[in-house]
Parts: sequence; structure tokens; C-alpha cells
Amino acid sequence: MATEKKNARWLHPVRVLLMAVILGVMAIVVWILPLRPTVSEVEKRELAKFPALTAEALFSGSFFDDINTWFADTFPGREALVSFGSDIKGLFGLRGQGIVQSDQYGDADSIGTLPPSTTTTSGSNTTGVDGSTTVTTTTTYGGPKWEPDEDLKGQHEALDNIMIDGGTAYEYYHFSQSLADGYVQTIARAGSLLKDIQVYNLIVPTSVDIMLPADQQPAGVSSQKDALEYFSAWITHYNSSVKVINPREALLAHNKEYIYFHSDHHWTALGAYYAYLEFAKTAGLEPVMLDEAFETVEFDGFRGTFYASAQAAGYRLSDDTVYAYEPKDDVSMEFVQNDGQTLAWPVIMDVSDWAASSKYNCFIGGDQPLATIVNESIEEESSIIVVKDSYGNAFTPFLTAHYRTVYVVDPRHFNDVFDQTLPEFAQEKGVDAVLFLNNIGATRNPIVVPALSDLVG
Amino acid sequence: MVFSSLFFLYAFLPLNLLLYKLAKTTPVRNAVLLVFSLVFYAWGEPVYMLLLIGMAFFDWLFARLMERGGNRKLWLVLAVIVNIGTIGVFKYLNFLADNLCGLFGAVSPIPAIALPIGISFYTFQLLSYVIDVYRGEVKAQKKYTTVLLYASLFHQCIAGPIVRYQDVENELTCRRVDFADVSEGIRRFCIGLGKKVFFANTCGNLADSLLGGKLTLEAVQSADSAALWVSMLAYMMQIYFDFSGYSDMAIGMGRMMGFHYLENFNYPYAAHSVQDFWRRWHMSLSSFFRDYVYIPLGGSRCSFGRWLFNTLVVWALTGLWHGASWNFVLWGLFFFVFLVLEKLFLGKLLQKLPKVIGHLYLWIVVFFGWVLFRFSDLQTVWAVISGMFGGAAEAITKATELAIRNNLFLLPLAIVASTPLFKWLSHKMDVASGNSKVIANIWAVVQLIWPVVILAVSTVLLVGDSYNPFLYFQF
Repeated sequence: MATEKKNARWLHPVRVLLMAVILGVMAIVVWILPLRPTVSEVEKRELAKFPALTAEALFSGSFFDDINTWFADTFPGREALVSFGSDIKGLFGLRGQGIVQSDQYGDADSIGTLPPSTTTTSGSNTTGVDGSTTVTTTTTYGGPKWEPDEDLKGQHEALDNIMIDGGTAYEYYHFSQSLADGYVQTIARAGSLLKDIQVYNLIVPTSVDIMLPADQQPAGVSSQKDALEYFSAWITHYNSSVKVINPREALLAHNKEYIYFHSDHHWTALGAYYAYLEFAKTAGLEPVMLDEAFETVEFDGFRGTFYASAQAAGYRLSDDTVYAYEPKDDVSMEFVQNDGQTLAWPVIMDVSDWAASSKYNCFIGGDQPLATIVNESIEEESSIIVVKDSYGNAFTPFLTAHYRTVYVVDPRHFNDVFDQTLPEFAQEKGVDAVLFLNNIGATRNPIVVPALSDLVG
Repeated sequence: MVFSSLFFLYAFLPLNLLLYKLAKTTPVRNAVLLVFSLVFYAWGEPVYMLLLIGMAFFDWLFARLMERGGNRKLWLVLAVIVNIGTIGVFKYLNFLADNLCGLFGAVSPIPAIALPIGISFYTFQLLSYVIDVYRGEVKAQKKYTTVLLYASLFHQCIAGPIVRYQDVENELTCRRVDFADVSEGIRRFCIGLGKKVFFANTCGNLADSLLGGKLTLEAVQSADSAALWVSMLAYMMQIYFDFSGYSDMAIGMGRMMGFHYLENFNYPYAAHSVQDFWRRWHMSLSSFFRDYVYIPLGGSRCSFGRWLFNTLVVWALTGLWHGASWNFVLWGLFFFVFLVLEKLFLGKLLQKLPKVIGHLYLWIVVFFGWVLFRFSDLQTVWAVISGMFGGAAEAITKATELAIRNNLFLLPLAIVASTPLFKWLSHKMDVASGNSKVIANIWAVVQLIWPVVILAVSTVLLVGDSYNPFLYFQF
């Protein structure tokens, strides 16, 4: 101490002064409210708000806790600081591979058994030659409307665990028995209620299943192959009139191509195109060629949903490019927003200047209660309703080549604006077909499945 | 409020320091400190603040009455009853009732009582004050607000160190600081902040995530062997950096304002025996029990049997102080056993063996001690231990392997930082500075920049912590 004082006498006053300046400047900056962000683009969420002062909040102390939360959550320069913090955490070890845990989902259920072997002819139960009972399938599912369990209420959509490998993230898939059954019954019921309308069901596997070799699947992930078979078999069992499309093999065949994003939970439009080819096969349509019927547009610098989670845990994911295929036909679209307003909008929006996290929204205006796309180049009236989660957004433009009118319904939002069930809506529009298109995650999603059930009615 | 929050760092503390600096006399400065301390306490516990104010009042009153003469012992007994009674009700009543009722197969009729923040620290401080007055070691403080300030001072009120009144008696009424004090305080505070944010929080995340974020029996039983080992090692680091970081921040803030709190940690993981460890770990608690329990009971100047009893009492109490649960009592008794063994023969044996054996022995004892400390029921403790030694379904899973790779540098760095290596290097630089003006200036620049770097990194990590990516998002 004595030597220190003698040799660098300037240290202490300078250190005190330096800290005083830093703390002083910071103490002012943190109260300049315009510097405080209110939303996080990367995390796609609103940041904490300054709490309301109530007597209860005051005495319980939650008012003060919430001030702390607000103060930290909306800290000036937040996005840059979070990103920098990620780089610091990246130094803790080798970060090529990793797992980011989510506490939102419990363990996976084991996938239930398939229905007994089925015949497709109608009639009463028959006894097979080996003496086993063959249960016949019906074309009219008479089951009641599926209602979710109490414990699902109040849950929200959230990411599952993600595994990171070399700049790409893969979301876990956890099979949920009760929600899977809810999904199956809802689709079967829709097939019955939508009389004389062809119902299709297409569940899209996610990247963890398609892009990762079987031996690299993380532990605790349910088999999407088995789950997709479960869905197909039970939907067909309950209602054989529903045509089930399983695009898994088709996607697997192309898994060297850019069919899923690195930093986002969606598929790319190219992945959607391969599923479209499968749909066309089942629906008996002559598929259109990508380069003939569409114009390719690209938006680079996309950082999707996984990006923020990975960043928080100190991993950097690769940036993505969104390739969108714009129909060459004379196609126009309008959609009804959550507030009931109708807007004309391009099928493929130029999102070059949009936030890095929003580039997937280039497709059909994102998730809207109802979008209506009309292809003026097709003269004869033909129409389809696509009931979809956001995987449907990249898929829908391909359908415009076959149907003059494509109605796009998002079950999470449709009933916020319209007081109709899906069968009523289909009746009113006189559509030819209904396609349910969801990613497999939707079938264990506590928001999507109940919303679908309510929509079908 | 906690020190390692952005609100404390950039709103509470700067304002506190500014007003403190503007105040010219000690009484005004004390008033500033008192107001800030009460706000600090009320920030987390608005209602229990009244308890703190009331406790300080009674202890002030009893000490005053004691000094007026009459029946001094009566006032002491009353004070002890009030202090122990209060902590007994708020911290131990549920535990006691649950155990008593459990014995008779009944359900405790007493509703769950929330533990007031810091009660274990400020009660002990007040207790030491009245006992010291009784013993005539200090004079009773005439002003109630000074006693209240002593008990509530936000530097140490909620997480220690347990400051003795006699150590700060003079500084409470008369203190001065110079640049060196403030500068040293800044350095110390930043070191504590870095310990908490850089090491404790991150090691804590690792320790938790290896067990899937849960400390239940199921979580432990499904964990692989490696996850249990590494999780406990990370926990061992977390708890040291957390606790000693807080003490550093308290000591640092005290220095900035002219208080000299005694050291609370002295590189405990560098100890070479359990006895040595407890001279280095949470020293203010050990010395409290030494001065107010162990020595009054007769200390070690008595028969072996009596000494055994005295030591047993102290360690059962030390365990219990950490929490109202049997695992804490066992944790205290666990150390009691090793202290007795060291007294009997192990201490002498260790002295004859190479030093590294002593360090290794201490690490093993402390490591397994933390298993007892971390898991509140014994079935889980046993599951952890057996899982570590081959009882787990797998030796190492892919997820654990990844977690280790992802934090490959963090844990070794934490272990090195828990030793006196940096202190030793710093001392070498001080000595070298005495011989060369160039080195002195380079070293001073390093010392100038270092706390700023720690503050900056801590801020960045704290902003990142505010961030919960698993909240709502739209598919």
C-alpha cells in the first residue's frame, strides 16, 4: 500500500473521478425515457412496462420488483448489449454445439398405439379369417366436439428446448397424447361436418426430424415418423373421407437442400414446394414448375425465432435468406386484420427494410384472421380454404395456380373477427376443398389445437 | 433490492453517493444513509420494514435501560428473548411446529410465515450490540436513529457481513474519507460485483441447467453421473462467489463512506483443513458464535466432554442459522464431526503430510458438505451421492457432455479465481512498482481500467439476464 501510494499517486483521484463520471453519466442516461426501447425486434415481444401503482402492489412489494424489471428490461441500448453479452458468454467454452432448455413443456408422452387394422369398406364389424375383429372405418365421424383439459388453459405458445449445432438450431418435438387426440378428433369431425367438400390434412415435420440424421437426434425428442403415422392412421380410422398427406419422405429426399431455416422454426418456401408436390399428387392436380410459374425474390439477413434464444445462451446462429416465389399470374390478395379492417396486400411483400426477425412475414401478409387470394388468370370458379398455422404462409402461394380463390384462415385469429364456424364459412363461400396444414409442433400446441376445435365447432 | 441489479447500480447507488457527498456533516450524512437504507429495505419488504424499525427500537431501549443501572441482567434477558423470539417466530416456528406435529401425526395449524429479508443478519447484529453493552465492552448509544442506522445500513443489512457495533461505533458518529478510501472502496465493490455477476450467476445457471432446472428427487434420479459431479462443482463455485461477492460489495461501499467492516471471506477454498476453512468462510458468523456461544459455554478450556458439547452446540446452531431445515443442521454437524476428528488426530496427521493432501481433503469434505446444503431432503441427498458413484443410469449423456464443452473455460477460471493467485500477483506488482516508476505507472493504469471493465461486463451480462427468450412468441 505504501509503495503504491508513493509511486502512482495519481491513481486514486483519477479512479474516483473516472467512476464518478461514468456513474454520473449513466445515472442520467438511464432516465432519458426516449432511449428506452419498448419492444424487442429480435425476441418479438413487448418489453416490460412501468408498473401501475396500486395499494396491493405497493404493500406486497411487487410494485418495486416490477420497477426493477422494467428498468432492466428496457435498458437503453438493450439489443446491442444483449448481443454483446452473448459474445461474452460464448467465451465460457466451446460453443459449436449446445442445448438451450425451455421450461415451457414437460416430458414427452409416449406415442399411443395405432388403431386396429382397418378396412376401407363400409359395413358392420366383421370377423377376419384369423378370428380377429376388424373395426371398420366410417366416413361420418360422429364424435363430439373436443374440449381441452382444464390445465391447458392459460398456457401460451412457446419454444420447446432447442439444440444448436454449427450455427443451426433445431427445436425439440414433444408428443402430447391429449392434444394429439384433440387434433385427430377435430380433423375427423371437420371431415363429417364439411359435407360434400373434400378435406385434406397435411402435417409438416420439423427440421429436427428432417435435417438431423437419426443418430444425432437429441435425447427426449419424440419420433416424428411415428407421430405422423399415428395422426394418419387415426384420422383415417375415424373418417376415411379425409385425405391425409404425409410429406415426410418427400422432404427427407431433399434434406441436402435449403428447406428449413437455420435460425427459425419455419420451413423455407422451397420445403413448402416439395410438400405442395405431394399435395398435388393426392388432390389429382398437375403441379406447376417453380421456375415457370413463379418469380424468385430473396430477402437476406433473416434472424428467426431461434436466434434470440440461442443468443441469450451465448450461441451465434447463421443468418438466413428468405427465398419467396411470387406467382407470375395476375394474383391479388386482401386480408382482414384482427381489428376487422380489410387491407389490400401483395402475396409476397417486399420486406427488405423490415426488421431482421420479421422476414418470414413476406408470405401472404403473415398470420391474419382471413386472407382472400384471387387469381384473375383462372377463369373458372374454383376455391379452397387453407386452415393453417404459419407454415401455411409459405405454402399457400403455390395453390393459387390451381384455385381461382384461395381463402386462408388462421384458427387462432379467425373468430376474433368472424362469428362463424368453419363449416358455416365454407358453406357461404361454396368452396370445393378444405386443407388443414400445420407443422407437427401445432399438434402439441395448447393454443392451436383448442382454437382449431372451436373453429370447426 | 439486490446490489447486482441495474436499478441499484445506475439509479439507487449514484443518487445515494451524490446526496451523501453533498451532505457536509456526519449527522446529515447519517440521515441520508438512514433514509436510503429504509428505502432499500422497503423496496423488497415494505411491511417487514416495521419489524426492523421495531427491533432496533427495543434493543436501543434495553441497552439504555441497562446503562441506567438497576437490574442489568433482566434487560439483557428481555433483549435476548425479544431477539431470539422474533427470529424464532419468523424463521423457525413453521419448522418447529411441522416437526412437532409430524411426531404426533398431525398437520401443523400454524400458517406459513414468510421470512423477512435479512432477519438473520440484523437480529444478530442487534443481539451483539446489547450483549456488548451488558458486558461493558461498549457504551449504549444515546440516539435511537444511530442504532437503527447500524441495524439497517443497506451495505450489510440483508446479506452480511454481520458487523459488530463495537467495530463501527466510532465511525457511526465520526468518520472521514480520502481519495484512497473511496478508490479502494470502488475497487472492492467492482470485484464483488464481478464475482456475483460473472462467476456466481453463470456458475449457478450451469449448476441448475445440468439438473434440468429442478432440485427434486426425480430430477436427481434421472441425471447422469457426470451431470451430478459437474453440477455440484459449479454450485460450489456459485455459493462462494455469490456470498463473498456480496460481502466485497458491502465492504467496498462501506469504504467509500468511511466505514471499515471486517473481512468476511479469506479464500476459504484455499484452506488446508476444516478448522482452517471455518477461519476463512463467513468469518463474521463464526466469530459471532465463538464470542457469544462457544466462549460463554466454556470454550476449549474445559474437559474434553464439555468441549465436545460446546462444539456440538455451536455447529448445530451454525447449521440451523443457514435455514430452518434438517439438512442445514446436518450440514453443521457434518463439519462438527470433521472438526472433532481434526482435534483428535487428523489435524496432527495432516500437518505431517504434504500440504496438497490437506487441500485435497478439505475440498472433498466441503464438496460433499455442499450436497447436504443444496438438497433439502435426505432421500435426494442420498440419490445425488449414489448417482455420483455409479448409481446413475448413465455415466454421461450427450447433453451433459455438451454442457461441459460449452463451459469448458468457465469452471477452471472460477476455481483459479477462488484462490489467492490474483492477490499474490497484485502484491508482486505492488512490490515491482516500488522499484520502477514505469512499472508503477503501467500497474496503476491496469488498476484504473480493471474496475471499469468489470463494471462494463457486469452491466452487459445483467442486461442479458433481463431477457427471457422463452416468453410469448407468435408462430
